[in-house]
Order: sequence, then structure tokens, then C-alpha cells
Amino acid sequence: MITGHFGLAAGVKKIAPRLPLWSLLLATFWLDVVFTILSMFGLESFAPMNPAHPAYGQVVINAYYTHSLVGAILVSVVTGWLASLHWKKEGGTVIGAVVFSHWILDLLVHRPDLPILPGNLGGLPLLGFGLWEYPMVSGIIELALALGGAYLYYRSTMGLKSSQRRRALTASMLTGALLLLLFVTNVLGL
Amino acid sequence: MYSMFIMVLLVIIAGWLDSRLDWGQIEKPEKEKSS
Repeated sequence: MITGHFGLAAGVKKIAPRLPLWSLLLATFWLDVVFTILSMFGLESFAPMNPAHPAYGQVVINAYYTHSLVGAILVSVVTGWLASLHWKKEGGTVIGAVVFSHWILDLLVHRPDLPILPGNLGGLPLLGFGLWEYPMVSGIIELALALGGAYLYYRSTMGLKSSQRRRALTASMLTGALLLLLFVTNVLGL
Repeated sequence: MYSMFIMVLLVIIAGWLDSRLDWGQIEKPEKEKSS
């Protein structure tokens, strides 16, 4: 769901235009950034099901801390609070919500591998609707998020002064093109 | 790997292009509400 996360972040610019795009893009991927740090210490892991032929959505993910429901809420709240120190309460709330949106989108596509409590405490049922089992469906959702996000980003620039229109169009087109490129490489397992 | 590279590019390039725009001067969208 890589492209979907970034598409959503670009679209959020429409409702929070004063937040820099980089902060929204980083926020949407923040759980995976923390995941990458924990995986360096061997606490979480990620591997393709078939290393010889990596394919879209065919991955084994062990992210029992960062991608647990409670863990994701904690990371979102802390990140949102930190963001609020710089972008005020409203900005912090948006950033926190974008961080947590990662878990919601992952819930749609992951096979049941998302615990409720960090470390899967209590052995509660794992969550995940498993749309990656239907790559066409999950791919269409990702593409819709990417295109929708690029469109909403473009719409967000409509309130800018007319002297900025050319720059705004360049930013919108390049953002859209990079989202599409990301979608293609992700779907092809590159 | 390529995906990772493009993600980094997206954050840096799109973020930079966005930062060149003067969002502080953005006009309140005359809400579609008014209709």
C-alpha cells in the first residue's frame, strides 16, 4: 500500500494547505520509518514470500510493535503532539491523523498480521482484511488513492495567487508523475 | 529497491516544489458551500 499512503497524504493538502507537503508525506510513512529502525535491531522484520521473484503484496511482515493498533495510536499521538509544537494544535492533529491513516490503509490490504496490542500481548486475534490476496482490487484502490491525491493536491493550489500558478502546476504534475511511477514500480515488485 | 528510491525522491522533490509555493498567502477557498 505504499502508493496509497502517499496519495492520501498529497490529498490531505486540500484540507490543510499550510502544512508543508513533505511533512504530510513523511507522516503517512512514519510508522514504516519507525518499523525500519526497529528492524535494524531485529525487533521487527519484512521479507518477500518468494525472494527470487518479489511480487506486489507477496510479503511476510512481522511488525508487532509499530503496526499493532495500540502501538500505531501511540506513535500517532506522540508524533501529532511533537508536530503541534511547530504547527499548532490543528496542524498536530492533522499530522497525527495522517500517521494513523497508515494503519487503517494497512488494515485493508494486510493479511491478518496486525496485532491489537504491542508484541501481540495476550495473543488476541490478528487483524487484516487481506486485500493483497486480490492484487487487482488492492491495485485499483492504490491507483485511485494516488490519482485522487494528486488531483486534490492540484485543487489545493487553486487558492494560491495567480502569479504562482505555473509553479503550482509544475509541483502538481511532478507529484502526480512520481506517485504514478511509485505505483508502477511497486506493482511490478521492483 | 526502486520503490524505496522513488519514495525518497517523492518526499524530497515534491516537498521542495511545494515549499516554493507561498501557502501563507493562500486565499480561503470561497467555499463550494455558498452554492
